[in-house]
Amino acid sequence: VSHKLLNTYAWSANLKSAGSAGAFLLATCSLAGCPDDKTGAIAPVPTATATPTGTPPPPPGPLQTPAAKNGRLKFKGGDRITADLASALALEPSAVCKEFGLYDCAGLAHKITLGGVEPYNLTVYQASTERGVSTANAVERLALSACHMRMEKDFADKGKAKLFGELVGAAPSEASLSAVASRLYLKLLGRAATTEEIQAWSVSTQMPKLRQRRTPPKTMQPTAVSPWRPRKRRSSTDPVERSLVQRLRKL
Amino acid sequence: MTNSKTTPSLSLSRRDLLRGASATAGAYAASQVLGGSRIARADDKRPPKFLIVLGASGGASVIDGPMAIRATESKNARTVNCYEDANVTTALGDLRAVKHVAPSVGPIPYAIDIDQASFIRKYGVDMQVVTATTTSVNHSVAQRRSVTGNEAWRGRTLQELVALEYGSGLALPNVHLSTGSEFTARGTDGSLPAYAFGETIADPLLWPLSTHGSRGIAGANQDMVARARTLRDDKLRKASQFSRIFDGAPNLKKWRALRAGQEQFEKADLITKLMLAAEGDAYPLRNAGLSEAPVAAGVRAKFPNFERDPLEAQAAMAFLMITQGVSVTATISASFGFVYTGKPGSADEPLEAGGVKNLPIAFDFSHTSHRAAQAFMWERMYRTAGSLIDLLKATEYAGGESYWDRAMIYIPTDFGRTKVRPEDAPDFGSGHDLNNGFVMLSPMLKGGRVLGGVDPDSGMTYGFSLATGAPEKGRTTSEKEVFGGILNTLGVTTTGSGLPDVPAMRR
Repeated sequence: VSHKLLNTYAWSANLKSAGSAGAFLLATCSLAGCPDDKTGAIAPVPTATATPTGTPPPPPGPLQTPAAKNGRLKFKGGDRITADLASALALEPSAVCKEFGLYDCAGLAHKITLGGVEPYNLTVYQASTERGVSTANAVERLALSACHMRMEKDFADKGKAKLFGELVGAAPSEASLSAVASRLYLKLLGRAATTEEIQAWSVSTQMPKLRQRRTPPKTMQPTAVSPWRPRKRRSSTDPVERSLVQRLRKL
Repeated sequence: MTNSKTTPSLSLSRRDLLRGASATAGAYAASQVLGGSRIARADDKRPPKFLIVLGASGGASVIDGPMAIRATESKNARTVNCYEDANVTTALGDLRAVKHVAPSVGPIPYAIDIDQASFIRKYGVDMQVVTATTTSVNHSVAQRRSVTGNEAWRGRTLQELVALEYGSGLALPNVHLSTGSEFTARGTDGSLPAYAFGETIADPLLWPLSTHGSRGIAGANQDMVARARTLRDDKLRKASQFSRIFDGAPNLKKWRALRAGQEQFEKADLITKLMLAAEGDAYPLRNAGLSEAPVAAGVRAKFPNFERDPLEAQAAMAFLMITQGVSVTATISASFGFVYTGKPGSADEPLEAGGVKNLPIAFDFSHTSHRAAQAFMWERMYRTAGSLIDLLKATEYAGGESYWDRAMIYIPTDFGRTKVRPEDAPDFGSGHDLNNGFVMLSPMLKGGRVLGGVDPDSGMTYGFSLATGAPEKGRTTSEKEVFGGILNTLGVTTTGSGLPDVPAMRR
């Protein structure tokens, strides 16, 4: 049951791993967080040995989820992307992105572009159902700004570093980069990185290929950062499993 | 009768191709991306024409503007909405102008002294009034019908048709700079390519920032961003379970198509070319590594209240978007919000001169104070149009032609106002009336003309011969005819539409 639960949750979390704000932020934060000579310690990344039973779970092989037939996705919108970024990067929502340092990106500057409504001054009562040509840029601006804010904080105070601790004051190593990459996946997409993803990331950051597979952590908070979310989550038809999943999510 | 003009077959093929390929990410992206700072149409050599829709929200009455009635002309002068002879000038050709002085606008303690004549004398040569009797006195419905010709052609809007005709290959062919009105309604013909539909820019001053993914963001390194995008698109996305499951999702396909055009969008440097704001505390451009548009100072000079008056900001951005090759049509409009500067004002302490920018509910404030509201709001429309014309005239399109030579400003409005007043009342409240007319300005129109006329005894307008423009008292002009006439004038292909041709309108 625990394996089944884990897989169910991993599948659910994997649904959120879009190649958009989360992946972009993942990529930018990863690349931006590779300075030359930084060292530091930080909480270990959850691994297979940290499972509650002490029994290493099987490695996450390719999931067998078929391609969605209808693929009904809905844009998350600026407010939720901001909330996700703030949660993942341990930032105040108001600190995620401000144009010119003055105008909140999701709340003001790009509010309508990001699918928001503003009834009081603009009399925009309904969010646009279509994304505009500048929406992708607005999402990236949010992600970049949030990433920069997190980096500033982490490199200013190694002891309070949340994401890039291993890289503060030390030359990046395979272990430190791997740890940061894994943590970024966990924080931003709400799941552990797969081997394939770690390898893809490592190549792009000139990191040697990692041979060991990462496994999902024992608990994962649904902090996925993606501008897209499935409209409906597939839920198990097994009432016992469903109940357990719900309980696990409350943890 | 339809427009006999035909679009080059190559262009039609391209459009058809784009229609068919609109679901295909690559083609969609290609149709969305700006190739340069100039109009770029590789396969259609026909130069574009431009449409600026300047919405007169709330009901702009033509008999309080270019078709004003003199008291001595009417048998019912005491009860029909007509003006003292001294306050009505025939400023140019058929076009009249009203002078109106009032100590307040209804209960708003704001004195006005307005004379429309100077505008008409300067721009009337390109100005035309087309009388019309519309079909709704509901604001939203009527506004929509003023841009769809009462759904005359499969529910397409004028803006969509202009974008369809001239906008392929542009970044944002049909831009909606105003919000909160149905002048920016989305048409109902879903078969049009995506680029023809309008896109809203709610904040013209900050929106240019979103034309670039990283410039102006603290700590952003563009090389790093480019690498991150490559990593995301080439590696992480392919490794993602989400992609495996949802790659076929239509919304995701569109999203990726939009994203595929990001770099070309950025290369166009619109973050600079459209940056209207000036360096200062409100917009610290230098600190963000940005700069204003090279022409921004000149545009701001024409729209000095752009930071406080949304209509001025919209108009300024409309000019930039058209002349920078981003758009072929822009929609702007007076909002229903009360826009003023300074203290709120009171009976003892009036609002400062020039302080009121927009009346609450715009032209519809005529319910409370018809004449003052109409005078104030017409002047606002005229001033905005005049500034736009000045800028467009001063900007060369190509071969000695200015942008204005190829542009039209269409001033749609919801409907007219009731034509009667309490006996001898100098000001009064009015209701909604289907009978009215539309004002438009363009060198492509037969200017200085009123097509149709007005019965001075009732204040009701009447129609004209669509072929010759001769007044016809027993006829009224429909929204469909006005719609067709505008499209004809702009050279939009209307073959097969069933729309009437209105040669009387165009030069």
